[in-house]
Parts: sequence; structure tokens; C-alpha cells
Amino acid sequence: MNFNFTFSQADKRPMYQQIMEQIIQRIAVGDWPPNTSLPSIRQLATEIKVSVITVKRAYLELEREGVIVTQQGKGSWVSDTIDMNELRHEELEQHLEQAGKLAKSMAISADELLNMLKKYT
Amino acid sequence: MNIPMAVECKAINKRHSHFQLQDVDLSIEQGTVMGLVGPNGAGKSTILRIIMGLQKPDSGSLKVLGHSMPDDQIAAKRRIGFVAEDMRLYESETIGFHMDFIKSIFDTWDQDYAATLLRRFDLIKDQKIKGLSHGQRVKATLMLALARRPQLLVFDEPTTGLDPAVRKEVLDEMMNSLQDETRSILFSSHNTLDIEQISDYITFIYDGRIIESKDKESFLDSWRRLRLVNIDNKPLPDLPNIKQIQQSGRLCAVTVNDYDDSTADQFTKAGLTVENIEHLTLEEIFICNVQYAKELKNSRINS
Amino acid sequence: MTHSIIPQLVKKDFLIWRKMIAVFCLMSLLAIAGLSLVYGHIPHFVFMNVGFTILIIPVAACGVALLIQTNVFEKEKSTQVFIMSLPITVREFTLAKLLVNLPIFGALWVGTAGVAFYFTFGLGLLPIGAVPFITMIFVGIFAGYSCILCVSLISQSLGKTIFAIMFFEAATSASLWIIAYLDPIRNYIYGPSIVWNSTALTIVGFQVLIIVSVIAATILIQNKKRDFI
Repeated sequence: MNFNFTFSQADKRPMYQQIMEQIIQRIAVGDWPPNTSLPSIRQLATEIKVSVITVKRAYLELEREGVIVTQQGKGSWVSDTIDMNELRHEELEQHLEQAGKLAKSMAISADELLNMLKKYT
Repeated sequence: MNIPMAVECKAINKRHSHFQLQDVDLSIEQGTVMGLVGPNGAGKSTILRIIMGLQKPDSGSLKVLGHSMPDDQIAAKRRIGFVAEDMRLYESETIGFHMDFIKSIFDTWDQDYAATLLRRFDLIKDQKIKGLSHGQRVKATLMLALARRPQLLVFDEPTTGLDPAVRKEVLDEMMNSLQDETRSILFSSHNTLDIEQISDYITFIYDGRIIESKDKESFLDSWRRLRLVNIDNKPLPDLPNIKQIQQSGRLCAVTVNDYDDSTADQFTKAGLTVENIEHLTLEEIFICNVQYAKELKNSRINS
Repeated sequence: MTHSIIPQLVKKDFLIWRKMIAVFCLMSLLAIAGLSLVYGHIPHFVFMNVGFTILIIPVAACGVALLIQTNVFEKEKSTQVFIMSLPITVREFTLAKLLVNLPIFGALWVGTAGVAFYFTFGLGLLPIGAVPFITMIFVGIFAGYSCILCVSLISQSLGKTIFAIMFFEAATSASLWIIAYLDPIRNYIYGPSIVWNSTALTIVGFQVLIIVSVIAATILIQNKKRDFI
């Protein structure tokens, strides 16, 4: 199996968050529909060359958010009660957060930012 | 559940003429990767050599894969693959010569895996060691260690002096060997990115002592940089976990470890505005830790 | 699982240095061939002195080159870190080094001694009474070699080994000169029969004792080393 996760060293977020994002994206675009089995933690870790403990943390956080379900001895799979809209919503919110931060550092006001955003809606 | 330990060091002391290891405790669970970080001369190589049974500690106890060292080193070393930066192969001989030699010693030698590694590493069996580049030599040494399928890999600076492409190949193979969850890796590196990427646990060594040793996620999580605005020039709260303060006018960046939510509150209570709270990379933590340890050592000497 | 890998270590050093060893063996054979050719064409006294030197040079050179390569350069070229990562202790390391150096030097030494005895006594260069003294020369050379071998193994330092080579070579020559001037030895060298008197036996016994004790001491000292890398 090849998961082709790509990480960016320029991304300042911790690695486990980047893994979570990549998994959520795969679920959001429908590549990993509900009930899809996830690779075992060790399998994914050795495949994407990231430490086991980091992948474990990503899975734990995803489980806490209700995106995946994990059962001891059985592995993990994509939750079937998952709300696609909510997932996409979360993803959108992450993008907005990034945009907000960037705007703030460039001293762009909220109104200005809103105006800029209108171009895309 | 009792997780078997790959390495268990207790209160290891070792005095050299110019340097001393003090009360080193180090445990590595089976199936995990431990990264040793520390500046040059901190004692990383000495620890690894003691673990390999090549040096005998003055005091303390040491078990590797259940064998006590250095007394049981023959049995232990049958299951360890050791690669050190200063390890050399025989210049006048070929890679194939070394493969035959290792194969004649280890009944665990996996010829197919060795052939796969040769291909992945772009090495040719008939090449003489003399004609290899530094990167090729490291890869050849690594191949000899990996193809015997050891339970424990001990690597002293495996990626030093390698170009980024070769470094990635080396790290990839280290991770590949972990598919079997009974295998463990202990390695030291100057390259904090390598450690950050593949380690489950991080041990930070300075001046012969272990400063911190914990799992990587908590390690990275426990360090934060707070960006503060100090409009009224209030004194900073005197917290024991402050490791570094960088001030420039009313702006102030404070680096802390053992961070939790109350840390930020302390600053707010002291009348400062917390603008941002950032994670640190292992490299930043490394530098901060070294500077702090240095200051602490100097103040101890001066007082 | 507990079998020792000493044979593999010995084989490894032999394979790496087999070409060098072959060159020295060839030199020995050339020396013997050369001596056979000139025999009868030069005075016996010159033949004996030159012949002895020519025979000994390849043996001594081979012994010294091999111990420097296998013992000193193992450390200096950092292949020792590689070897010590294998399932061995210092004890196996030391025994393997002794087992590669002693037999190879020993074989050349026995061969050369045989040829020297043949030339000296088979061709009648010296009367048979010189047998004990010629024996002392060869056992003395082996004793000197053993001392150098042990220094090289314990110190693994090029400087100390070269010093040991010079020192023990001079000591061997000096001791043989002294022995040659001892009355109980000198009086019988040109005699018609082999006389093993107590002085001769004591000297050879002492030489053998040196060989055995330095080798034993090396093993003991090496076993006590706490740090090996």
C-alpha cells in the first residue's frame, strides 16, 4: 500500500496535525468512505517514515474528534456516523484561520479581509 | 502489561580523563525509536559504546536485550546492528567480501534483503571500499548491519556528512526495519530534523548528564515560545520553567518548558499581553537547552 | 548460538593479507634459489653470513608487516570499530590476532630454519657441534618476534610497535652475540658432536619461556582492558 502523504517542512504545525489533516482530506474527498479500514499505526508510520508515536497521537486526536473509531485488537476505521459537512466545515475553518493570521500580520483589517473574501463567493 | 525493554541503563557513571558521564539512566522499550540529542562532546558516543559493551562503566548496571553488559556482550551483539560514524570497512576489499564475512558470522543474515538494499542504495557488490564516496560507505556499512536483521539497531551519527537524498534513503531504511514491532532503534544525531522525524523518544544529553528524556510528542509539546507585549514595562513573573528571555523594547519572547495553560495566565496576571503562543522545532529546543545548560554550568562555576 | 567466531576472524585477516603473504613467501623462495645458485662460487664464510641475512629478511619482514597491518592498522584505520561490533569480546579479538600472526610467521620460520640447517650442516659449512647455537639463533628470533607481536597487540600504536621492533631486534642480536662468547657454548661450536650442556639447555629453555610468557601475558592484559574502543 502506498499512502503518498506529503509533508512540508515549511508548515509550522506539529507533524501529528499534518497527518490528521491528510487523513481528513482523504475522507472529505471521498477516497476513504465511512467504514474504510485505516492502516495500522505501525504500518502507516513505516510507510510515511514518521515515528510511531506521532502517528499514534494523530489517530488518538482523530478518534477524540469522532472522525475515526479504534478498537483494541481490531484496528481503526473511518467512522460511519461521520458528518461530511462538519468535516468540510472544519477544513474550511482551518483555512480561514490561516488567512486571518496572515491578514493580521499584514495589518489588514477584518473588513478589508471580508471584502477580499467576497471575490471568491 | 510488562513491555520488554531493549535497553536498560541504571545510574551509569564513567570517568574519562577529560570528561565524565554522570548517573545516566536510559530505558528503551522494545519496538520504539530513541533519539539521542546533544552537542559535541556531550557523551552521546560514550553512552552508545557502553551500551555496545565496548567500554565498561565505572558503576551502574546495564542490560541490553535482556543481556547484562559488558559480560554477556557476545550473546547481545548477535542481535545488535551497530553503525558508528568513525567505523570503517577494509579499503582493499569489495562490498561483497564484507557481505560474505558478515554472512559467515550471523545465521540471521538475509541474503535477499541484502540484495534489495544494494539495489535501493545503488551499490555494486564488486565495488572496492577504496573507491566509494562517503555516502556510499555509510550505506554499505548500514546494509551490513540491517541485512543481519538485528533486534536492536545502534547508530552513532548515521546521517552526518550525507547529502539530503542519501539521508532520506538512510532514514527510510531505518523506518522500514521497524515493520517488525519487536525491533528497536537507538541513534544519535546532530541533525535534529532526523531525530524529530523518526524518534518516538528523545533523550537530551549535556555535559555527561541526561537533561531530559521523554516521548517526543510530550517533549515537543512541553516547550513553547510566548510572544508578549509589555506596554508598562512590568517585571516578568519569576517562573522556574522559563528557559530563555529575549527582549526588545516593549516586545518580549519567552521560551518555556513544562508548558501548560496556566503558564500563559501567569503572564497575563503580571500585566503582560500574550500575543501568540508558538510551538518550537526540536532544533530550537536544542539550542535553547544548550544555552540554558551552559549558563547554569557557568553560574555554578562562578558561584 | 554460542560458537565462537574466531575462525571467521582468522580467515578474514588471512584473506585480506594473502597477497602480501604470498609475496614474502616468493621472496623466501627466491632467496633460497639464489643461494643455491651461488653456492660453491663464493667463499663459505661469505656464503654463510650473506645467506643467513638473505634468508631471514623475508621472514622478519613478513612477520612485522603482518602484525602492523592486522594489529596496529586495525585500530588506526578504524576497522576495529566494525570488528568489535560483531559478537566477540576483547578475548576473541586477541586470540584471533595471535592465531593469524603466529602460524604464518611460524610456518615461514620453520621453513627458513630447515633450509638454514640444511645449508649449514647438510653442506658441511659448519661442524655438527654448532647445532645448539644455530637452534638458539632461531628460537631467539622467535622470542624477539613474540615480544614485538605482543607490544603491537597490546598497544596497537605504530610508534610503540616500531620502537619495539628496533628494541627487540637489537636485544635479540646482542643476546646472541653474548651467548656466542659464553665458554660453555663457544667451546663446542666447532666441535665434532652435538653437546646440549646445562648452559645451552637453560638458554633455549629461557627463550621458550619468554615466548610462552609474553603470549600468556598478552592474553591476560587484553582480558583486563575495560575500554576497547
